[in-house]
Amino acid sequence: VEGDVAHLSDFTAAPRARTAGPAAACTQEDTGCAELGAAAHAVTALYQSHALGLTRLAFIVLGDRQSAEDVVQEAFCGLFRVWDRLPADANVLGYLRVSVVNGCRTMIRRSKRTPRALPPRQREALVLRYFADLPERETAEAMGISRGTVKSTTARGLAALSRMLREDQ
Amino acid sequence: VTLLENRLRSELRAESELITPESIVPLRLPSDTERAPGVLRRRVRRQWPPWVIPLAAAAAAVAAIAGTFAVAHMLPGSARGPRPAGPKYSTMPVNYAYTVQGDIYHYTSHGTQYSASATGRYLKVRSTVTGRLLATVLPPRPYNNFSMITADASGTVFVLGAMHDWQRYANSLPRVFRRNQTTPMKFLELRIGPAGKVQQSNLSLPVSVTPGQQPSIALSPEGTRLAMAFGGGGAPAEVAVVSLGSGQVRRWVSPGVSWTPQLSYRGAWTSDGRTLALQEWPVPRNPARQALRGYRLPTVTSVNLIDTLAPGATLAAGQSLMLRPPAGESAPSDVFITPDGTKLIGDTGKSDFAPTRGPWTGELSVYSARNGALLQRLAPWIWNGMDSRPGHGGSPSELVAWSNPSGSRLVLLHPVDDLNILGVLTGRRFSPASAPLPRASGYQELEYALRTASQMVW
Repeated sequence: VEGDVAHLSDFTAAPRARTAGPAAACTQEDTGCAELGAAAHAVTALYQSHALGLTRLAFIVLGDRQSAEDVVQEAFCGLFRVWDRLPADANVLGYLRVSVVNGCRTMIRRSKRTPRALPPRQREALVLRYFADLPERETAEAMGISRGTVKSTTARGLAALSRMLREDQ
Repeated sequence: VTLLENRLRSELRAESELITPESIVPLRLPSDTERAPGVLRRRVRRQWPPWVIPLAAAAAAVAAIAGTFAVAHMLPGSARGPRPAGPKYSTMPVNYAYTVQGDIYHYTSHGTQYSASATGRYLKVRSTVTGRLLATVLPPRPYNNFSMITADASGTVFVLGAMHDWQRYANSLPRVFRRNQTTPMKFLELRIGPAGKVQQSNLSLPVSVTPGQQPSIALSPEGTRLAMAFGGGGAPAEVAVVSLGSGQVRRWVSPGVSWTPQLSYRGAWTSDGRTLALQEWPVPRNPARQALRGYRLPTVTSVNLIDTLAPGATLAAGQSLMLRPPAGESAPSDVFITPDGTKLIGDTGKSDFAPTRGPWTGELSVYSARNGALLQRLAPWIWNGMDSRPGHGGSPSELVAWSNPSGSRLVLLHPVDDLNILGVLTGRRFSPASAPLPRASGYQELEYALRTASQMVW
């Protein structure tokens, strides 16, 4: 796993340093994942690096802290389950981002929560473009749609926001 | 749309900061028996959580339509493509910022009382063209000093590092302080709109640094990523690049090095936002007076060029260059990488200045970023240091504030006639405050501030 991590995308290189040591920042007290081996160490290190950003992403989409935490936990647990099957050069951060976006969709569907001011897809697009600062291509990957649809969804979201702001004023 | 986009960015970020780094709950992983074995088997597919299905579907689709660009990045074997070209650096940033000298503090060290000034007591932002004052920013209480300022290439995004630098001794005489090395630093972001409107927000970063870790910061040219360097001096030296939007971090760590990693606030990144120039600063940490007596300035400067897109998790992953000064001079300091990434520029000079031994001399030394060879010496200066005319005196400061892509045109603070003045160096010719640097109303104040504070970003 050490060798695999070294070839992951640039964002995953950092956890490698954390996984190198024998204790590897993964103890029963702070993670509850002791004795689970190298995959747990690697996923825990990824969590330490990316949980904040992904939780913020989910929180902005969902508007609820508890749900955001659940979605992110589930995303990392899912990654842990499939860790051994991931190819050496998989884009783990992109994978997590897709998991979080899909988890948010599932959460919205299940809870039948009242949508926030914008339709969920428009909000997703705006959050990924303007909060996560993702380019159109990566936004398209995270949402599972085409770049053209990202452009049109983002434009519609901005137009709707602009309309709401005018109405507010 | 730009105003709306800026407002949206700002509000989304403000909303996201309700989730603080401290509030992140620990990861609870399932037991190892719940993990699927190493080979993908059809019968376990039903057990996958629902969100895995779209990914598997995407993989199947791409297997059928090889080369579909939109999802290729998610799949094995895909390589990260080159980043889009960064800022062109054909024009100067629209705004600049500098810190202003503040109060004089009396402090104690080694049992002796000294006086010192807080150089970053507050900060000013001005328009490059008109010199108009756009903002005066004070550190949020109880912080009392901006020790770090950095900006993007356009001059519309600034990040400020506030230090709780001085702590009053309990029950001490008034205004007697000690340096505070342990309170984590606070970071602020300023966004300047096209009409000069300033939006200030607190940054909640996933990386915490203290003044004792000798931190330095550098904002990427496009203003979305903050490089932070800290540690060393016997402790692990670390560089972290934080995505300001998402809070994602990439780290490079080297355990137990003697030097301190240092980033130039103004010229640490290449214009494509890919390479970081890191100086290895061999100054001893918290030295005893005895150690300082034997201390000699370094004879070479080590610079580490880190490719932020290449794999690697230690600072050894970067390209190491040794920059040697011209004969008889001190090693280059405050090293600046040109936006095209071809040259490194540092200031060098005779280090044994004393009024009785003659004038202090120095210049800018330009090095190859490929092999560290000294290419040329520019903008030489002489500083007599005995000038008693009003406004003269002090110390020489040669400071590169801005560079065009190749480094053939620099805006710099340059010692002339025992004054540090602002101007443009084109080739070997220095012109005080000429095009593209009009004599704006704020420059005189900037020059004065730089004589005493020496912190600015363009």
